[in-house]
Amino acid sequence: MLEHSAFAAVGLTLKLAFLTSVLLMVLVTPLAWKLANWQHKLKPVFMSVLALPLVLPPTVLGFYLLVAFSPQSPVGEGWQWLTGHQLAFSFEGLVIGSFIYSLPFALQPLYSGFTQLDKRYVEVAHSLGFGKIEAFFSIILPLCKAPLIVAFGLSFAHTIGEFGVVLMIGGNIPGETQVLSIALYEHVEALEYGQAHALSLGLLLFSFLLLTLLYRFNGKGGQGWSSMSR
Amino acid sequence: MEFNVSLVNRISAKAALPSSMQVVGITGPSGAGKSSLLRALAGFEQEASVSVNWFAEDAKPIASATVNAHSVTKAINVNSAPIRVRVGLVFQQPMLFPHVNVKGNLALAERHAGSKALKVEHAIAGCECEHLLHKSIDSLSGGEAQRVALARALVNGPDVLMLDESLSALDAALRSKILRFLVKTCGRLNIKLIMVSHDVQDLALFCDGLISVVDGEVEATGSVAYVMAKIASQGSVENPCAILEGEIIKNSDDFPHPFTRLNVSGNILYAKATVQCDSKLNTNNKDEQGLSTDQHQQRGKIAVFASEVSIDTNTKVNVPSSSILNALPCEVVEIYHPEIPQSENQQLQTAIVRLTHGNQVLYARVSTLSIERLKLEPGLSVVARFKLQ
Repeated sequence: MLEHSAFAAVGLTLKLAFLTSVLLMVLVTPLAWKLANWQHKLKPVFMSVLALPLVLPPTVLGFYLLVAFSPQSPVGEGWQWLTGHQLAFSFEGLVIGSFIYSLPFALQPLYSGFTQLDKRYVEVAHSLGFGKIEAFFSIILPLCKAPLIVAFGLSFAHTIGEFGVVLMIGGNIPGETQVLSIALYEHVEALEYGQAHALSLGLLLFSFLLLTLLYRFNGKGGQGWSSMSR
Repeated sequence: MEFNVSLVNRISAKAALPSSMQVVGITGPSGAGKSSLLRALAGFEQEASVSVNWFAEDAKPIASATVNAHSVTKAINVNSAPIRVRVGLVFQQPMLFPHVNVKGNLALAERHAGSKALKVEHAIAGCECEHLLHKSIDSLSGGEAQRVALARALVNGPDVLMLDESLSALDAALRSKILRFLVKTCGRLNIKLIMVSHDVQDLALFCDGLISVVDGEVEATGSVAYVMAKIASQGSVENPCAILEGEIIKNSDDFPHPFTRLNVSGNILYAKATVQCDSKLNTNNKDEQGLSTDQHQQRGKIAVFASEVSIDTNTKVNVPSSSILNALPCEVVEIYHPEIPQSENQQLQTAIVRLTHGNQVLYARVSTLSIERLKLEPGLSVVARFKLQ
């Protein structure tokens, strides 16, 4: 049987993954659309910066985030001034870290989907009198349903499997920053293999089901994400 | 209508047509830049420099406004403030929104319906797509999708409607029927119609004015007859098309046949259907569908291709022994070999004979052997015979 702390870790992980994915969808979707229609010689540089979390070791990203979140840095100091508590080793800090770490996993399928969208749909929408924002919500987003679902699913799955960044900026505070992967690591360290097996099997099944669903949608038009590696 | 469009390495086109020309056709060979010109006029070519005045008054200086890509094209009335002109563009590929069905597409178009919008029921009736209303976009055939795209544009009601080969997937009879409806509707609602089509006959029959584009430049512009004659005179058309106009004779009991008769200066020509000469003739028709057959219209026109015309040196018009119904006395004006890419031997096998009947022009494509046998030469009186159009 799973302990109470394990259920807390499951709940916290799902909450973190959901919040991160929602934030990513809200903020990265317009960014991806803009990038898909932006032509500039500096575009490769900009795209590289956004894709860095794909190739950087999570500990490197976690280290820089930890430095940025510390009360001595302008970001950490500003956060403490606003909220009264420090950003490092807090749930909010985890959300921000997860957002940055999972950003390419949301951006890539959306960018691919928007790039592949026949721009004549947009032209027709404009010729029918749709403004830019209305065309985006009424035409473009419904036509890119598959990439949107894939982007949300990948962000969610990637956040659930997060370890390095979470460990660096969140530590291991039960109920506050202890997510599933950290709880699993702790069980292994304490030689509690039964608990570790239960959590591992749960994560394995969940990841398998989620990926099966995503592959199904990927076949319907959400491309460009299957080649990404962690 | 006046425009000046410049797109680096692709288009440098400038033209002016009288505002009375409600339906304007754009013709030209493949790759001439017709579609690019249309896209630029609609404001979809970001690199293009476009000056356009859709409703320019005749004989007045060009007044223009630069078109910004993805914005509603603007035009300036010479004597008034700038007005917004809604431009609708229907592509050859219908680009129906696949996330909603046919009804959903029409509803999206209706959301921003302008003052010239057609009611949904009238648009789908005219475009022959009532039975498609609840179908998904994926299930439509090419022709059905094109009809729905046209209905969607009419439901939106633009001031200018551009068709880029938008009815190419339809068979000739249905295309002709829908074009009749479209021209009549646009005339009634005062929508300027700009059509790009490979079908010269469609353009000749349904347009008031023509613009001929070659290599991104306007080669000729003006009335259909003028532009068609100019294109044919350059000798690069293998099978030139002529337009014959005349008075439509009302059918009565003494002529119980499903054909239309056209009186061309005393000569009766028979046709399966004729097209009204002036698309604006029905503007007073209160019928919302624009489908009423207003009997006040008198003049009609038919298109005749050179390949359909034979020449008879026997100047007797009525020859009861022939199955060919149509005969028109003409005079030979010119005989030339079309300059088309083919071997010299092939080029010498056929020739185009330009004929005139009063001020109307007709072409006949005949073999050089026939020219020799009939001793055809400019000034000779002959009878042009062609089958029912």
